[in-house]
Amino acid sequence: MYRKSELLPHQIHWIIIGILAALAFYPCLNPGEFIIDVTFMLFHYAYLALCWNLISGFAGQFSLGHAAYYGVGAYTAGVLFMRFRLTPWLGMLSGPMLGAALALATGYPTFRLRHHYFALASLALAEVMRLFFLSWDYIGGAYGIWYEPVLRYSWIDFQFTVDHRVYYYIMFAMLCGALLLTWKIRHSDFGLRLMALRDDEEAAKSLGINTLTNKLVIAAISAGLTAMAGVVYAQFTLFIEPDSTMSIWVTMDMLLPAMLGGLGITYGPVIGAFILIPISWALRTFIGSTLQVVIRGIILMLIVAFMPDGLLQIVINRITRPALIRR
Amino acid sequence: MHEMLTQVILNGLFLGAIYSLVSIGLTLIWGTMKIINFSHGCLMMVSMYISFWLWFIIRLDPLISIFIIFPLMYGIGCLFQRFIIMPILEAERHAQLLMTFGLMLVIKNTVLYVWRADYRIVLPLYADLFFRTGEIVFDAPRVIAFTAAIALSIGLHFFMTKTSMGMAIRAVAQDSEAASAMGINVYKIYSITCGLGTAFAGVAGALISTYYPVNPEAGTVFMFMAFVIMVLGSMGNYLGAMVAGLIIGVTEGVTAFLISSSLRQAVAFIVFILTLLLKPEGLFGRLLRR
Amino acid sequence: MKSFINYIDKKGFSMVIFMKVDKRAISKVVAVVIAVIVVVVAVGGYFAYTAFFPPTPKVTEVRIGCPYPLSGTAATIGLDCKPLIEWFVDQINKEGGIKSLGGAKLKVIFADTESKPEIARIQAAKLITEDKCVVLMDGTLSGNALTQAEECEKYGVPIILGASSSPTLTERGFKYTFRHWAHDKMLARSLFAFLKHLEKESGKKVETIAIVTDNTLFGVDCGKAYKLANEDPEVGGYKIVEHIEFPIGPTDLTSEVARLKVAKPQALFLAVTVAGDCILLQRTFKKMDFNFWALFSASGHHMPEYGDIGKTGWYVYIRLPYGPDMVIKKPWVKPIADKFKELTGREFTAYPAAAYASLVLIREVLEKCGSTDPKKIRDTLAEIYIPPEKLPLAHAGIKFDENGQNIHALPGIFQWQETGLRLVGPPDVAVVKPIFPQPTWAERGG
Repeated sequence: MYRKSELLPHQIHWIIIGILAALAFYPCLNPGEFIIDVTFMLFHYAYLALCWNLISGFAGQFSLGHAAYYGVGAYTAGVLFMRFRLTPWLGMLSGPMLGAALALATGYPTFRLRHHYFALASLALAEVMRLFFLSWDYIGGAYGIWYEPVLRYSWIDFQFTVDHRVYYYIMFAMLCGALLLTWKIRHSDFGLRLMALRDDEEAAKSLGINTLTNKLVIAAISAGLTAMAGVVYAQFTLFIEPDSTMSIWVTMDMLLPAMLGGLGITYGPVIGAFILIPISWALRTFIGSTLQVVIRGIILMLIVAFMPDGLLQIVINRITRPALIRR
Repeated sequence: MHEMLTQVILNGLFLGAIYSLVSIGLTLIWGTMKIINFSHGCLMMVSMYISFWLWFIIRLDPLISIFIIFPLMYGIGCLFQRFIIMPILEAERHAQLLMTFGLMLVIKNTVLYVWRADYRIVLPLYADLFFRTGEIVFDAPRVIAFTAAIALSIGLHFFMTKTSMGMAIRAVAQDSEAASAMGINVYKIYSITCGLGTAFAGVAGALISTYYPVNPEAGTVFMFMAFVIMVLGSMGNYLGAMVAGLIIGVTEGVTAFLISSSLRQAVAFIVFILTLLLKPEGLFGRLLRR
Repeated sequence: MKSFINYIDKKGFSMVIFMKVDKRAISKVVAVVIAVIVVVVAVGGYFAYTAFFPPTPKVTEVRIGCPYPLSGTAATIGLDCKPLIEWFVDQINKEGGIKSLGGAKLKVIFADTESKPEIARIQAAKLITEDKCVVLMDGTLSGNALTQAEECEKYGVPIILGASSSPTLTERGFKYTFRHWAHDKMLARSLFAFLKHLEKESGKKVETIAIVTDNTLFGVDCGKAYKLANEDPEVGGYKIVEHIEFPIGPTDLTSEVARLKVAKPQALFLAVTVAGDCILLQRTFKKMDFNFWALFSASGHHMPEYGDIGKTGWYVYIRLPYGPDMVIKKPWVKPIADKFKELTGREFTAYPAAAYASLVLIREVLEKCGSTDPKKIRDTLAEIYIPPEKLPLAHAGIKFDENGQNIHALPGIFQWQETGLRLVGPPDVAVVKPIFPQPTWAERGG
């Protein structure tokens, strides 16, 4: 299936950089913790959506079990800190490594499965991990990991409960990093190969592209980055349990912004998150959470029915079409 | 100990038959339309609620309410096909998955909002009726549910093999373009299959409400099991789903008894992954595609 | 920019198309960009508005924050407690508010925590920083209470926990966490102590027990608490013949009961969070003719739906701070229970009762303290004593130790009997006698 190229005019990049710069200086206005928290969550989900987009949007391997890597990251940091008194920054390094290793180990046998089967297999793997973690006492089981809070500002312990702005900046830096990485991958040969195998795997193979290796590489990158976000989550919430880090709903929260904003487009997940998260918080405040999920489900269904490729793709189609028609 | 094991296996069969009913619906929809329906479990949950309210308000026994639920869920299935499936038949696969997932979110949370997370129980007259030999007990609700499930599956088989409508469905599942060329109205078949599949899930819901507490989360676990069974029994193969359902039901029960209760659900997922990796076409190949 | 274009050109993309794009397309681009900026600014504006929400002067109003789950798995509790809390606060305000503060009115602000720990944290912080609440009250899941307590400790605002029973909550040396409900270790002990009492009364000695829990945080915690209590020679010392942890919401429990039948325990200690699983378990016991002398439950069996199964559900003991018999012991609770029924259509149970007790506590503290400074409120909480007559609960009063745990927290032990859920222990407060050992299924008939 032919998918239109997503290149945006370079003016867009300046505007985006401008917005990001504004966001970088915003916390200096001291706007209050609630807003910092919500914006933190915004960046968090935008980042996660970007990571998910790497494998599902660019490589076309629809992963419904991405939450497993998220949980691995969170638990690595938690276990290292609570059991071995090792700084969670070490978790930031080892979490992604474990996540990538898990992606490689599970990807190798499952990547030869076709579309639907791969999605279901990834879902099943995440569920098995979650159920396993629920009964694994060493890491807490259903009890989870309860951090001993260091109620001060501590870089070595990676806890900033007194000033959430540090979390904000860390997440912001990660988001910019992920955006940059996505952009670079998108505009590299590697990215071309991924999109080729996404669009038609058989044709890509006949061109000599080693589909398995490419898929594994992007899976490892995506999983590693997701695990890093898991570590940040652990350090923010200071409480980890399998159900809030590894369930299918976590994966859904990751993929909804990506689908809304544009699958396979660099800025898509970010735009999607910037629209979705404020709406969901506003809904939460005014009509309560159950209905908020109902509305999110309806939004999902509408997106799938009318713009399955996402908002940004429609925008791009509108921009490119006049020129193409002229050709 | 051995008697307990026998009881566990027996119960696994009873439970497995219910899993099969749910799974048959799922596999029929997949067989013809190549769509995985994530909202299947939710629809079953809705029929559990219908069965409960019918019992609660007019004391209608769930087994009798099946005669209302079957056509009602059939109708809902047709609506589902018309408004949810039709727009995405030609769409990309991830779009299809997410559409049904979105529907599941909507249905489940609407039920949660309206009727809350409270547990509702149906207490039919035969709820405490059982037959015991030694340590092994056959309790009426489960035996009845098992019998009804098996009867329905056999009925389905006759329908599929002996009636022209059934053969039309199998034709569409095998090759929808060729079937269309033969003059079969493919969209009508889609509608019928969806209706049938949902009706089967509905009957499963009504049967199980006789002994299982009704709540909004009830559909989720059954649906996951149904996925596992669908793949194990070969996607599209309803007889395979029947057999695979019994296998999974027994495996789940025996694992919980002999090894550990925490592995109860995990073992089904492990079987699922192994099937996908080792024999993705399932145990029985494609019955519908012969 | 030029090298950027060359870079793209080298890769062979037709970036050239965009270079030749005409003015209409550019203005379309600008329109889209402007739309995006407008969205971002609008969103930012909304946040800025809520950030600079003007605080009302505290002297006429005391704000109480209630981060309850109004959705998600624990929604029933939040939805039950909310109308009661709002009604009680209304009553207090009608009676003149807090007199020592010059008749200041109480105002409750709810925030939905969705039964999720990270949302609970954010909502607690919001209640403190945005809504300027001076005291928080919570009455549910320990996982949520945990994160909320941390936020409160950070900002120096006291939080009163009504129903979270995990021991860790008051073992962390927090100065601003106060729990008037008992924790799982105390509750487990009370159940074991009651078993000892039953043995003494009936002359039948229990040798073997089994522990059955679900795999939630609460279940696992209680399982540990039971084991710990069993290791205490004063109340424990039984042989644990089986310890089952099943996944919450299972489709069937026959295998688990089969294992229990093989192990043959004489008493069961349960911690099953949801009523549905309790019902399933009880009916499976009956079906498989699994007999034992007593079943002690930490939760789940007190929900009204459990009563719907009638005779099958009898003789189960459950520890609760409140049960219907409390109106016999404390008649003044009856109008409150009736009002609750009127407001929500449901029976007055432990969770709303605990919320009510929290509000009584807050009102007393505010009256005594005469200030809305959270630190002063906290100090008053540390010293105050509330006599049991003022509480609708089974506690012997409220007095917090240095960790914020109410040392007078006592559960009542209730048993489902023919006449309903009856108060059968502790021995000095019992209304009816407990039935021990429970009749076998054959003896119960039907």
